Amino acid sequence: MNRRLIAASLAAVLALSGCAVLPAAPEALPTDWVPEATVDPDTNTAALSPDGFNAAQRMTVRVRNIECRGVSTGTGFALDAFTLVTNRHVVDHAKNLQVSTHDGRLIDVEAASVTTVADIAIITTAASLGGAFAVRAEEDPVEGDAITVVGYPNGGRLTTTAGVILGPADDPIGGAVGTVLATTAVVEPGSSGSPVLNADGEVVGVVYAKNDADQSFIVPVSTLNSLLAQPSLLVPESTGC
Amino acid sequence: MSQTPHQDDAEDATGVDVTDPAEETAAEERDARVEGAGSSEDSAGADDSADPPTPTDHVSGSSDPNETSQPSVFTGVDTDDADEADGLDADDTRADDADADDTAEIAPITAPTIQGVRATGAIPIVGDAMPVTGAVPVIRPIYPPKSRTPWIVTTIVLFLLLAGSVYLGWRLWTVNGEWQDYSDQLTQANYDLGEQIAAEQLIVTQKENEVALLSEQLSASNSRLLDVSAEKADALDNDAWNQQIVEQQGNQLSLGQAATASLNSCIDGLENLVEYVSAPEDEYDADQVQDYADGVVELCAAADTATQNFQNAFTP
Repeated sequence: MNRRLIAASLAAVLALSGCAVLPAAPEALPTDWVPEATVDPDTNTAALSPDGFNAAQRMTVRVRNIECRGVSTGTGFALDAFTLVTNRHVVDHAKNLQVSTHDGRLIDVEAASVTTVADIAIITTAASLGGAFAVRAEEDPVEGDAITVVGYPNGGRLTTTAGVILGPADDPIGGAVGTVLATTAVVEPGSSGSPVLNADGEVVGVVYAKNDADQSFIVPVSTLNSLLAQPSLLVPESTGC
Repeated sequence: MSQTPHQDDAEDATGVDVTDPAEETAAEERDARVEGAGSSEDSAGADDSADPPTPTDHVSGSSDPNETSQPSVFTGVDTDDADEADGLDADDTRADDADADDTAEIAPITAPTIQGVRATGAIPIVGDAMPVTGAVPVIRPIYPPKSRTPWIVTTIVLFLLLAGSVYLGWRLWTVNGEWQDYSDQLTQANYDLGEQIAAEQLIVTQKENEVALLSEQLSASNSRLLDVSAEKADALDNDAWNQQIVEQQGNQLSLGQAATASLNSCIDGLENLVEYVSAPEDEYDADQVQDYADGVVELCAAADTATQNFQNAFTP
C-alpha cells in the first residue's frame, strides 16, 4: 500500500510540477522593430575627401623653378599648411619659386632652405597649401616593401606609381652623405621631390634620382626626420640671377 | 473448543482439521465441556478484568497463567466447527459485556473482532487437534480485513490528478491560443517589415546607381581637374618661359638697336671722313680732319662692341 501511495504522490507531484514549466503567455508585440538611424556623416570621413582626391594626392604639389634662363619643375609634399619638402636640386638657381596644388591653385614661395647632407630642401609658402599633410614613418622601408610614388613626372599631370624597395644603394649623384634606397618605381624628370608612401600611407622617402635602368633612388625618411629634427643643418637658398 | 498446548502445536504443524465423524462427535462432547468451563470462568471474570481477554482465555477457560499466555494459532475449521465456535463467541461476548460492567473503572482493552473472531493478534485454534489421517483437505485461509484508506487516498490522488490535468489542458489551450495570436501578429509584422525592406532595397539600389554614376562623374571631373591643373601649370610654365623669352628678346632688341645706332654713327662718320679726305687740301684743316677720323674710329669701335654684345645676346 505504501508503495502505491508513494507512487501516487510522486505522480501528483510530477503532474503539478508540470504547471511550473508551462510556457508563459507571450508579451505584447514589440514596436521598436526598426532601430533609429545612427549614421553620423562625420564618423566616416577617413575614406572620403572634400574633393574626391585622396590625402596623398592633396598633399603633393608641383614646384616650378623659374630660373634666370629657363623654367624647371619638380614635386614636393606638404608637411604642414605652410611647409613642404622637395629636393635641393629642384630649387637650385631659382630666381622665383612657385607651387601648384593638385586642383590648380598657384602659391608663391617665401623662402627655401637646403642642406648639404642630402638632396633635400624645405620650402615655406606664403599661403596655405591645403588640409592634407604628410605622415612620416618612424623607420625606413626594407627590401621588398611595396611603395607608392605620387608626383608630377615631366611636369605633367599628377600621377601615382607603384614599386618595390630594392634595398640600400650607392648615391648615383653623389650629393648624399647617408644611405639611399633604390626602388623599382618608374619616375621621370619632374618627379624629384615626390613622396614615397608605404602601404599605410606614411611617407618613407623622397624621390631624388633615377638611372638608365629605370630604377629610382630615394632619400630615406630617417634622413628626412634627422634634418627636420636639426634645423641647423638647413641653410637658406639664395635667389636671383 | 479448547485444546491443550501440545494439541495446538500439532494443529499448527499440520494446518488441517479432522473430519472423521467419530472424531467430530468426540469433539462436540469436548466443546460441551468447554462451554461449561467457560461459564465457570465467566463467573471469575472479575478477577481477570485487569487482563484483556484473549481468545485463548475464552476458549480454554483455564486460569493457568502459563496456559493463557501460550500463543494460540487460529487455523481454519470446517463449517460445523465454525458454527459452534460462533455460538461460543456469542456467549463470550455476553460474558465480556458483563465483565465490562464490572470493569467500568478500568478501560478494557478489547481487540476488534470480525464475526466473533479477533481481527488482530494470534489466530486462535478452535477444536482439538487430531492426527491427520486420510486425505488432507485444502484449507481456505482467512485473511485479515483490508483497510479502505489506500483506496480513499488513491481516489483523492486520482481526483487531484484529474483536476490538475484539466487545469493543465485549459492552461495549455489558453497559452496556445495566445501564442498563435502572437505568431499571427509576428507574421504580419514580418510581412510589413519585408515590404519595408524591399522598398528600402529599391531605394538603396537607386541610390547606389546614383552614387556609382556620381562617383564616375567625380572621377571624370577629378581627372579633368588634374588635366586642367596640369595644363594650367604647363601654361604657367610656358608663360614664365615666354616671359623669359620676351625679356631676352627685348634685351637682344635693345642690344641690336644700340649696335645699329653705333654702326650707323660709324658709317656716317666714315662717310663724312671720306668726304673730308677727298676734298681739296685747303678746304679742311688737316688737324681737324685727323681729330674727326679719331672720333670715327671710336664710333666704329663702339659699334663693334655693340655688335658683339648683340651677337652675344643670341649665344645660349
